[in-house]
Amino acid sequence: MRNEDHHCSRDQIPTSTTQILTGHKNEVWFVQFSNNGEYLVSSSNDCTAIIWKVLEDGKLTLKHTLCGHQHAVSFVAWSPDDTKLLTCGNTEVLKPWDVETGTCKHTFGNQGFVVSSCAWFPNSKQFGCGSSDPEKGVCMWDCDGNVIKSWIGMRMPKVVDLAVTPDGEYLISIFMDKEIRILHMGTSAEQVISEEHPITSLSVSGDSKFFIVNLNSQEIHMWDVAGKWDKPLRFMGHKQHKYVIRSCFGGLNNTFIASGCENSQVYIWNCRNSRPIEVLSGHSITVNCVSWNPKIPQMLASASDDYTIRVWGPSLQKKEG
Amino acid sequence: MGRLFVVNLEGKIYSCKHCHTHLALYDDIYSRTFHCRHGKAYLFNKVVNVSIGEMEDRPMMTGLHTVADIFCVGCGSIVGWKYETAYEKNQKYKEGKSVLERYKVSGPDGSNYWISNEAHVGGSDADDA
Repeated sequence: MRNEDHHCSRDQIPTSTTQILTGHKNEVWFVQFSNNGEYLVSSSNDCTAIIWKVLEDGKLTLKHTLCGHQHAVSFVAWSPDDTKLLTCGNTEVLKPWDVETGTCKHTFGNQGFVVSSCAWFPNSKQFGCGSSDPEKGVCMWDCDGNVIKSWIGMRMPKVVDLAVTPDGEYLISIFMDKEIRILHMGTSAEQVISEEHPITSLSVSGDSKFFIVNLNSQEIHMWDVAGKWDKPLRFMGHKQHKYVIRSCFGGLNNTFIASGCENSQVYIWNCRNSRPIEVLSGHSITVNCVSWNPKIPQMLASASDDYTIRVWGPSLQKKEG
Repeated sequence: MGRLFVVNLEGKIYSCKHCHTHLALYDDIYSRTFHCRHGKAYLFNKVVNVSIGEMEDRPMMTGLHTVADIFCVGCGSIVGWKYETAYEKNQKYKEGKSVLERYKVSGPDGSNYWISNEAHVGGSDADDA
């Protein structure tokens, strides 16, 4: 039975390139499917983000190119209702966009405002953003630009990455001094987890129970949001040292983890094993970010410095066999 | 190259002369009595934002060492070397520490160190900020 389950899972794992998207004119730094799985957003060192539509046959087509940033777009966040996007310019401003029309009404911040990441709250009307400027810290804004709440102070370390659990209960921040802070939004109770190596990125599971962090010691660590684990689950085998590399949960029953890599491959782990079960080749240089379609467990997208996005699906040969 | 993961330091910072990426803190200077072919160099307990090159054995004035050149992650220029292994007992303190060539970095307040004949005589500390 276990072998059958494993075999079944393997047939559902994306292992082959099904499409190569070439809309960007420079390194693609970020990629993420919308919560409903109907769109993919990508962002690039060409200072644009692109919204792609996932068609019924699984192919992706360009819907909007979002122009306006003056610097590389390093991070994008889908609102929970998928009607809006937030784009972060690398050491630059924050822009909310309407997904349907591809237009931007506001710009938050200015040249001195160093945004590192942002995250929506479940109401799709408020978001938090983190800053690399120690005096800015973490701010909670509404879409009209009003600051609702802020965690500011000279002692606040620089924010590297930020996420809100899908249930809205926790705000998780990654700080420059290798700390993970889990803040309960209701009670303001705070938990701190310390890592031994710098953390470059953070990703939360769809059920709000777990999160993973990429470390530049070439490991991915999984922790529980409730903070009961003494030590993390560890995943390794990929290469990461110089760049921000992002990973994600996904696949059947969300029991898999995928990550980019500095050696041009995509790595996939089953959550129960620290060694990868698949290593996907095709990109010619660093893979910065991967995203798993939340509604189509067999669909994975990867963003690379080779200017392309690859969409991956199960191997056709295996299907036929 | 992708989005570099660059650590930003606070305090008195030594940064890359070419691209201003932060490399080390004044407080982490272990010694200022080192020399290299371009003049003065500082030994640091810790450096950040560097790539490490191939390890090689290098005979130095103080004996044989295994070292690796270090490069700025921002622009790739060589900025010094890291001591991996020292083979003489009185040199063991260097292991794990890194040398930054003073000529390759901007010091706190943006000060720079210029090659001059005076350097070989032993420059004044005041010049180095």
